[in-house]
Amino acid sequence: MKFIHAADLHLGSPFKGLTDLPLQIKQQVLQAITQSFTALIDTAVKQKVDFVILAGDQFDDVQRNLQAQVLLQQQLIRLADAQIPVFMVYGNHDYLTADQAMINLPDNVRVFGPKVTTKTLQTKSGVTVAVSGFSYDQNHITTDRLAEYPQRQSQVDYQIGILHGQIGQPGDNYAPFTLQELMSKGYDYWALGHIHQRSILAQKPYIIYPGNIQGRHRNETEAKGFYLVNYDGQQTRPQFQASAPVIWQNVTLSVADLTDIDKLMAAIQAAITVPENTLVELTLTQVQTLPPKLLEKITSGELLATLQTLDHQQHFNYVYRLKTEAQPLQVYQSIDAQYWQAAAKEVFQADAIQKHLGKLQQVEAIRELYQQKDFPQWIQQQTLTLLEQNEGELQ
Amino acid sequence: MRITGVKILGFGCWVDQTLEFQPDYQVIWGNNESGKTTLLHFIRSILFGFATARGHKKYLQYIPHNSSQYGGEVYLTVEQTPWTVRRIKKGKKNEELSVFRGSEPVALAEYQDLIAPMTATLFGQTNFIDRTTLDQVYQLTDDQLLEAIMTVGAVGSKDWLQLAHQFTNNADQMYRPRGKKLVLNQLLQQSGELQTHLTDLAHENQDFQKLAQQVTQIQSQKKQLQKQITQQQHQLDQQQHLLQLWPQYQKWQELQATKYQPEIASADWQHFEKLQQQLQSQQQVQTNLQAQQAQLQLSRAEQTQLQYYQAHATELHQLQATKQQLDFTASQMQQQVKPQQQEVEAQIQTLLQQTDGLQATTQPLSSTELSTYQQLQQKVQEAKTTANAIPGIALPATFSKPSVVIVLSLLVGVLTGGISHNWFLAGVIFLLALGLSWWGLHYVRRQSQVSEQKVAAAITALQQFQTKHHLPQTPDLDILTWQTQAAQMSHYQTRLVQLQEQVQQYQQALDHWRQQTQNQLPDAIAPAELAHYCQRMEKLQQRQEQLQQQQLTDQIADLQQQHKQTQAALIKLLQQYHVTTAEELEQLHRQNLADVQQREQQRVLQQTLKTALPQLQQIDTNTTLENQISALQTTIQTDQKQLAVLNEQQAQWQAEQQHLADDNQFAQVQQEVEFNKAAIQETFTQWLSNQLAALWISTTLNQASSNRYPHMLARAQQFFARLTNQRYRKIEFIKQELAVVNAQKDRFTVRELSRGTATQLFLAFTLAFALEVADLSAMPLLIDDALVDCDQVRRSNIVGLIQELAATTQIIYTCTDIHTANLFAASNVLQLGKDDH
Repeated sequence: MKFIHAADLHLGSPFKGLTDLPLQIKQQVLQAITQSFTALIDTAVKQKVDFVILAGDQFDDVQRNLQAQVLLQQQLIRLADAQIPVFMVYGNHDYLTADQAMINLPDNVRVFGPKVTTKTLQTKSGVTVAVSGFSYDQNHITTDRLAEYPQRQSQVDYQIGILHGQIGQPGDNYAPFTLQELMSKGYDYWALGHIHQRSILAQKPYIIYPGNIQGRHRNETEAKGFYLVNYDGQQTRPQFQASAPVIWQNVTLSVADLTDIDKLMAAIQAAITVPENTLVELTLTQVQTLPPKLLEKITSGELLATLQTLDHQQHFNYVYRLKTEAQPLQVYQSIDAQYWQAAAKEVFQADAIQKHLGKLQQVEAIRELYQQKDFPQWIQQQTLTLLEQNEGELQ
Repeated sequence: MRITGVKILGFGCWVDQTLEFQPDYQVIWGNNESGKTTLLHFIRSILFGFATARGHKKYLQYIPHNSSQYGGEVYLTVEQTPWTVRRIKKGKKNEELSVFRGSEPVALAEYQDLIAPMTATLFGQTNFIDRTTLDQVYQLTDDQLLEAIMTVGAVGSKDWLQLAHQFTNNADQMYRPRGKKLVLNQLLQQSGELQTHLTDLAHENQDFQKLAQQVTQIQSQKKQLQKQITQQQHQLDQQQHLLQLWPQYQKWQELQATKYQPEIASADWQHFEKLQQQLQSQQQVQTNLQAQQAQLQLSRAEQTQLQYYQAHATELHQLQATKQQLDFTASQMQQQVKPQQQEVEAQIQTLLQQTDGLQATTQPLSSTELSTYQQLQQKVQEAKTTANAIPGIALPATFSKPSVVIVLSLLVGVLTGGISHNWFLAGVIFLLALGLSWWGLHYVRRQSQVSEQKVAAAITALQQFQTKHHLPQTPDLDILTWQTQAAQMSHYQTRLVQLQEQVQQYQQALDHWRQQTQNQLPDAIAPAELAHYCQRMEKLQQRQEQLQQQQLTDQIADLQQQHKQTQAALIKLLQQYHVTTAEELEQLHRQNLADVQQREQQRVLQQTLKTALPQLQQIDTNTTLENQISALQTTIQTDQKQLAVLNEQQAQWQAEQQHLADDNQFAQVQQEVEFNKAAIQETFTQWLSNQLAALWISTTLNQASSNRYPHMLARAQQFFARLTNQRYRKIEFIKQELAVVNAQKDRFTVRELSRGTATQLFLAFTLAFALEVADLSAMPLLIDDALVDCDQVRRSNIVGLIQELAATTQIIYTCTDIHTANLFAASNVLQLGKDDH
């Protein structure tokens, strides 16, 4: 028996953390999630899987973008045409609400309600499968729902549990559970969702986070896709299938001993060129060793601009951000160090900073930034970098 | 620490020079370009490091022009211990630093510890005061000057201030609360626009839902309308059906109205028919019988005849038999005799034709006659033969003519003459010829005449015989044949006679019979009619017999009785139906039949109209019906048009739905929103860090200053008093405000001072701060021609000032003015320029 386990599709979700993209790349980016999902369905049909499991967060928000719904419907219809049933739960982003979808899903799709239920299926080859799961009906599920899951049924050949949540304790926001609890149910496979970084938490039975199917920002790097799971009657063999057309990468490159622009460019190219289409955040370390004119090119943004105007027709490894790391120089004199530090304590206070913002406090993007816990330290670091960059002026 | 001397190997314009300094203070004076400034820079370079290619103008490298060496030594006294700091640079990168305490080398780390926290930068900022420091003050605005003064207490405060201003500037370039064209402002503007756009697009979901609702609604509307139309259609069909049935209905109505004649029961009618039939047949039979009777009945005449016949029956029968025989004979006559007669006659005719001269009565010759004829015939023949022997008989007549003879003879004569040319001869010949021929002819003629006579005689004899015996008059008659033929003829004639006799016999017999018959038969009857007569009589007899047999009269009487009975029954039946004659009943019956048809029709119509009847009965005329129908049709049309409109609307809405579903704009705008957000965050970070950098700097400077200020204030006050020649005795620092107080206890804010005085105030603070720093680091103070712009009176104050400063810190002071230099103790004055380069 074969099935596909995927989660966190986040259909319709945009890419975050980019300020702009060249047109061709932008178009590919807009299509990236769709492409990844379509590839998933292609595999399902080609491999003639017995069923597909979608473990939550199919949509980015509870409003459910219309086109995302249409996309889901169209692709699930393809599965319906191939007589492949779908087991689906909704997660914390796309939880069930009273006024639901405007798009009707085909009959082969079996959605789990807010209470834990078990649905059974008999595959074409006669294997009986039971699937237990539930959908979120609100943003946070703080109780431990595992108690509601039944013990493994004896008369079925294979039992799967679907759970969109996170390891934790009751009171945590996302259906907290422990590995022991999962294992105690005696199921043959746990299809998890919610964590976007894929990982295999256990092997007997397999407890798997497939991760999301397409990275959307700098924290969702490397290959993304879904799991194709094979069960031959005795052993379960999950196999990761990459399906994301655009890969995020964070690359670090030391520029020590690079003395001119050509060597620098060559080194950069070597570091970022890969066969896949990538969006790269490139961090150059030890930039203090560079000749000043070269460093100037970096800090002025000229180097980045050059990197970004390379050809992106068929394939791109696009550097969307260029960061530099230098050995921190003493910006201020040590005899005044105490005053600098005292002043820093005064200036880099959350409330003090907020006072500066004025109307900017109301800007969503900005609020998001400064409401982060370590924002004062972070902005202090940025300011220090700024001073470092300008410390040449002081000499 | 105090600098006791220097040894310059190569620096700027200095080459291989050694100088000694006084530990308290050292004044160095010289003209411009004498290397004073260079010297100070040298000290700094040796102590803290050569200037690199990086960095700014303040701190120059002073690569020596005339020496291959670069660097030198500085001699220090640290806590009464002599130290040597030697720093040289070979080439571009090899900077060699060696430090000795006395003659012992010192670890560089220890040296660093010694000079810490002083760095080249710090030294430059705090322990190095030159004109530029003060000159720059002149370029500041009043506020900036105040600021400068207020923040003297931090290291490099002026530069920091400049940087802070730059940062603030940068930030202001990026964003201002009411800005429109600045980067962050524009991004924020864009953000608003994108959000609005997104919100509009986000309505898609609602719009889609709304459209779905509308579509459902319209579908139910359509359904209803369709139902309505179907109903109306049904009604229309019904009405049209009624209209169709209308004529039939009218007919039905008519039929309903008719009154029917009483119906003859089928049994009765059958009875009636039977009676009629009976009557008829009875009548028929009766008539037949009566006819028969009539037929058979003999008339009186017939009776008489019959009696007569019966009387003579036997004889008549006999005669009949005879007649039969005769008939038989007649037939025989007919069959045989007659034909034979005909045959013979034909044969006779044939023979007559064949033979000329033969007649019916011709008899064959007897044998003697025959031989006679033959002899005669022979004679003729002989005569002829002789005649023929005579030549010339055959000559044609023409030749006998004389004319011809003459001509011929002439001809001969001519010919001869011609040939012989002897006309005498010719003449002779002619005559001869003539004569010959004439004779000849004559002879011949005679001869022929004779023979002819003989012939004629023979012929005559023959002819006479012929006439006698009735032979034809032909001369060459073949008598034998004639004989045969004659014999034949004779035979035929005999036969003929025989036959005729037969006939005659029959005839006689017939006549006899005739006679007899005539006797027997009644007068009116001819014998030829015997058979007929007998037959007739026989028939009469038969009739009589029949009549007697059949008893016809009784039968007829019976029939008549029956007939009466039948008629009575008939009348009874008729009476039952109140009619008098059978025709009337028949008419009634026809009427009945017609009625049946009608009734049937009525029944059929009733059946046909059954379902529609109640409706039809409600309508008075078909015009009403037609009106209803046309009204319905109009309604249906209107409804169908409405339906089409609804369909169109539904299609439109569904197309809109599809458009919404296909529209990619939301995703695009969402992505733009993210781009915008990231850009805002980046720009904001830049802006904020610039703002905070400026703030950090000014806060630090303020903190440092306000920390050091109180202590510095005392010194600054002192210095300021000295520099202003005791004019201003006090400096007050109250609530961040700086003010000076003169002897008269008048307070002046810094803004109220003249620029020169303000500069001196700044200098006082700078010196005070330098001493603060010096307290920490005990480094000498290098003042490069900085105390200028003082009038003479104040100049001397500077001397006192330096001497005072020197108490705690070594001062190395350069100047160009000899007068100033002379104010100092000569031992502390070094002159550059004349002997050193």
